[in-house]
Amino acid sequence: MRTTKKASHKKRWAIIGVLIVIILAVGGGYYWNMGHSVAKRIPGNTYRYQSTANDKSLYLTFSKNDNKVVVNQNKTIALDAAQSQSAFDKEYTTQSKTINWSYKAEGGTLTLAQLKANKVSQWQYNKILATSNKFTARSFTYQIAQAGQGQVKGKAVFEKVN
Amino acid sequence: MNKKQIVGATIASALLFAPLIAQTTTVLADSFYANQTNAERADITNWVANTSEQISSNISAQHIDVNNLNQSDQNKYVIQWGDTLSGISAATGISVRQLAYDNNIRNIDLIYAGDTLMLNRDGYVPTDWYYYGDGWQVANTKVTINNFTENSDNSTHIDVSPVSVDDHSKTTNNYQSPADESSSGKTATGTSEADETDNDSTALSDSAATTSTSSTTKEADSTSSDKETNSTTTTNRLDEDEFGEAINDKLATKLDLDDETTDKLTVDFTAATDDDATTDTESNDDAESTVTDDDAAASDEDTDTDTEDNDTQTVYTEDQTITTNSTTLTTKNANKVAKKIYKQLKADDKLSDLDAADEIEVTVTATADGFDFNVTLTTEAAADNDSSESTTDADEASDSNTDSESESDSDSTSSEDEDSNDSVTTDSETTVNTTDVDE
Repeated sequence: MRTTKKASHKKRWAIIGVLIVIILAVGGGYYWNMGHSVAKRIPGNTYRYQSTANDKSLYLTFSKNDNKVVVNQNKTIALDAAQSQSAFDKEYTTQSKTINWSYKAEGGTLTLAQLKANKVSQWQYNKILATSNKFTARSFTYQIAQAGQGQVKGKAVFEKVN
Repeated sequence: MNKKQIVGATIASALLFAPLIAQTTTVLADSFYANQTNAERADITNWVANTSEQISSNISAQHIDVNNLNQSDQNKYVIQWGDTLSGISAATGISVRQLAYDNNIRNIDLIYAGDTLMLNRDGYVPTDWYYYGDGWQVANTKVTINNFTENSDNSTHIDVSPVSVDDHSKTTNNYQSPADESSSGKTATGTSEADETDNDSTALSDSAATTSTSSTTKEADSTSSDKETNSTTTTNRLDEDEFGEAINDKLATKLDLDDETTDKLTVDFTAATDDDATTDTESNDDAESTVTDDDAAASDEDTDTDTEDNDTQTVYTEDQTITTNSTTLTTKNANKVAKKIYKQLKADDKLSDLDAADEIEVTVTATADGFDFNVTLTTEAAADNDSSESTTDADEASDSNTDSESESDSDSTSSEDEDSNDSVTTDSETTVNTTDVDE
């Protein structure tokens, strides 16, 4: 009788242990996926970024096929660029008259680069957690031509708008 | 409380609060930066052009009525992050040319956030006024936005860079504001940055002496609204155009040229290179005019307006040498050079010739030991001087050739030597920047 009770107790703990492992595995996997999925989530989509001072918004439409990105304060232009490849190319060509923007996403990192008058400025967003409707960076590193460089520890949120 | 005590208290209070009051009035433009964190300054939104609607909103926020922008109102707009001169033009209805003239901006692609812009719709712009740029570049920063939080070596690390090698071969980055008077003291890492500035100067000096450094970046040339905000750079390295401008400004002051006559003075500065030296020699061998212009626009206009009836003469048959402790391209050095040029002209009794001339062109060339200079004077000659006319015409033809050579030289070398002296590394496809700082 006592042996049966002990075995049952043991079995219960084993089940709980397995459940915990499963939960941890699923949760960890989900977290890991959030931390490494920005590269596959952003192509073809438009995101809105609110400035640190909360006074301006920026809209970014990432190309599906290459590393180009349309960056604009005008939401309509950004959304238009997300309609089709030809629409994107049109907006990007217009933008390229003054400035070239490109991006690279890898793991939990996204870098936006600006090429203007033969000078490169880059903003690298670090430790990104991405979901289907937004991604959040914990800090960003910047190198801005003729301006400065450094790192800012603070949340940067990009909300999907298309 | 007797009268003495009241007077004493008043004086004490005045002494106590005077610095505060003075500061408030003198650093109005700089207050733009005062309440901002580095995070706010470095924010990517600041480096994307504002829409004209956004600029209109900014203008309204400063209580400026865009429907009433005449001269009498003296409307002054503090340039905001993301502003472009063309955007401001669109938002106000004032032409870019008018904005540039009213605010003495030659390079309309180099404006600074926090600077004050005079908005005047009814103004007059002289026909010979020129500017360059397209006005689409966003306002730059007057302070260097360095914010090193982790690295003791004052570097940032871009791990993932989208910029390809091909792009980088064309890029020359310098992560310091061209208007920043001194990066030290403005960040948490002031001391080491001051060291970096020293390194900058040394590096530039070296390159000026030994390599072709025709850095023709447009940003360099702005006389901009710095004049209004007194953002005089004294220690930062300058490029050739800026250095020439600085000499020009100082020399104009020394020669007592007022606003109307200051245009007759031009300073053409060339860093010492083999190619440039060849060009200079060719020009000087003519024994007469050496017309060199800062940019194509000026070149075109000058050629159009000065093709007839001009006598040109070179003040010295050989270039004069100025010895300086350093050949670093800084405002301080530019002022020194200007003073020495003035001193020598005065000592040689040439000032009266300069007064009589309609155009004064000072050619300054950097050498290993200092600077060489010469002065070319142009005077409007009488119409009946046939022989001089024909000579002048011939010279102009050769001058235009010289000009085009100089321009092509500049273009081909402009991207190579502008050094960045902050330590910057990029792991990904390429290195963003050459590193000159000795660790």
